Amino acid sequence: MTQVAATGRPAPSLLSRVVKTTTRDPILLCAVLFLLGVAVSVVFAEWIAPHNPLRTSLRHQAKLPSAQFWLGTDEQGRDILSRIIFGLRITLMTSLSGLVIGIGLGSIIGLVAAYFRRLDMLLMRIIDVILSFPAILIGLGLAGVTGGGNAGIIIALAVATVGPAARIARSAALTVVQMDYIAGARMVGLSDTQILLRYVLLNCLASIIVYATLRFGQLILLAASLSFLGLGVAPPAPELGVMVSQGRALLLTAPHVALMPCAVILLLVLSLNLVGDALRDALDPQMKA
Amino acid sequence: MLLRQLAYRLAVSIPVLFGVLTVGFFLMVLVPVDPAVIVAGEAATAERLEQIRREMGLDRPVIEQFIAYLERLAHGDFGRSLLSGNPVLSEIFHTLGPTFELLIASLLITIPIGIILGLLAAKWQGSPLDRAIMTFAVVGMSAPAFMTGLLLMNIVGVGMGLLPVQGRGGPIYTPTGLLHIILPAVTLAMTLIGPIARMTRTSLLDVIRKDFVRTARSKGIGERRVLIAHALRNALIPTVNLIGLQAGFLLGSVVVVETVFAWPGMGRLAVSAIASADAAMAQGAMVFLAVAFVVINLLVDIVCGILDPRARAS
Repeated sequence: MTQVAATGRPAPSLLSRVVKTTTRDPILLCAVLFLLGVAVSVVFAEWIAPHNPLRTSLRHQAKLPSAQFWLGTDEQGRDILSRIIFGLRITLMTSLSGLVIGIGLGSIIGLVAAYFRRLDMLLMRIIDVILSFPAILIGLGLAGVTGGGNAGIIIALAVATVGPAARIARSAALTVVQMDYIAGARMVGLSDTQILLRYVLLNCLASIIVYATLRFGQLILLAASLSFLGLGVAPPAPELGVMVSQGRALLLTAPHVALMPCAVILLLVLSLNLVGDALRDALDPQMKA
Repeated sequence: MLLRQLAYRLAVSIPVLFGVLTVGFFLMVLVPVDPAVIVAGEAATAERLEQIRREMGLDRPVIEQFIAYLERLAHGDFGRSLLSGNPVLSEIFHTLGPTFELLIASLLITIPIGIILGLLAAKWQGSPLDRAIMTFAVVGMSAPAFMTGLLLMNIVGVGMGLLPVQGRGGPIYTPTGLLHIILPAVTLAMTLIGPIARMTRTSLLDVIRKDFVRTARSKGIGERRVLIAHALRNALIPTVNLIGLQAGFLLGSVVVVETVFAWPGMGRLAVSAIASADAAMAQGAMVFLAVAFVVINLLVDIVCGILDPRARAS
């Protein structure tokens, strides 16, 4: 960190500001730790999950949480904690894929629209059309076409994200492209692509990252809702929305079967929202909720 | 000008509706289930299936089928449900009322509560009340609609036995109808109260620092009147816009809430049609959901025009 500071880049001050804010706010710290825990258990699910998420057991049907099954078992005697850990993997991969595709495409469109002013009108009209597409309809339609599965959900999430991401990238880039250093870069003879990547993109990155963090939580909710409706992966596979939908039948006798995965979704999205808010305050004070 | 903006909104909606129609159509073509089998049953002979396919035009090229489909839609013919055999339109019309009711009931809860919470938080910015409201808002935003629904169902409905948890009890103005709509409407409202409270607070804090608010105060107008008549009115514009931006999200929550509470609306119709590969039905429901989406956005534009004279004049 001292090395970076010596080069005079602004990065360390931002990083230290983020670290300082995080450690000062106990709730934010919990959120960050929870997200780290989720990330670790998703990556190392095979080693961390205490049981096989698919193994059923007639002797342990819909058991309450115990020392053997920390979060209890579901209607087929499968360990809920293990299913949640593997389910998080599917849910997170789905929403992360949709997020990356949507933010990536949206940022490219927004930056290009801000940089090549002639394209602005056309690109933004296209974005208006995309913005008017309700994501749930795309999800519903694609689920019908593809017969369920994650591809449909990923496309729906990506389409739902392209529009707002393009608008945010464009409005951030519009101020950047008027800066003197862009004119300078042009005079030095850098190509448009080089200027866009090296200067415009880098200077818009804060806004894009803040938006992506806040969007991530919403996409997780959307993905879980679509699979709750039965439009995602097929039942035997553990997926958080599917688990809730299946546990619904036991709501009266064993509510924990449906509510445990719900609680994990809530904590996950809540943590992302808290971290996103904090990031916004630290990196991008102009951007409002 | 407001009219121009509305015209633009309608113009943008045309490719959207066309897109939904196209996706809906390819639903029918690509669904891995043979519609003829659904109509005739598993036991039908090969000749009978062939005959049904010819009657339904399934033996013709896809493009020709698409044009024929658009032609029928232009005449208001949405076809018949593959399962029940009833006209799609009449089944959809039965679901319009319940969905509309649910949307209105939830907005009647959401908008006042969201705005009041935002107002209180802004008025006492930085106080424990502000922090409590903002915590409630961010938790509400983070809770999936099905979770809120299941919790309310379990605690208020079954646990305390206070309210019915499944289905619709008739029109909203009847006592049973009103009782049945409370839990689904509150569930739906919970998804939007958070964003609305946050947006009201942010834009109110923004507006309070503007010159015209200072002018109003210096004229000696009471603080409450300044806050509500001058500041809030202007702060509401981004809030109403937010409802438009969240319309897609709201529609998604409607589908989930209707499924959780077995509410006989359009969203549930669409989901069950897709689940049972009833393509004609699914298409019809999607088209109507898309139209609902366009209408919500038009209404939002109109309300913003009323709140903001600049949108009308410039």
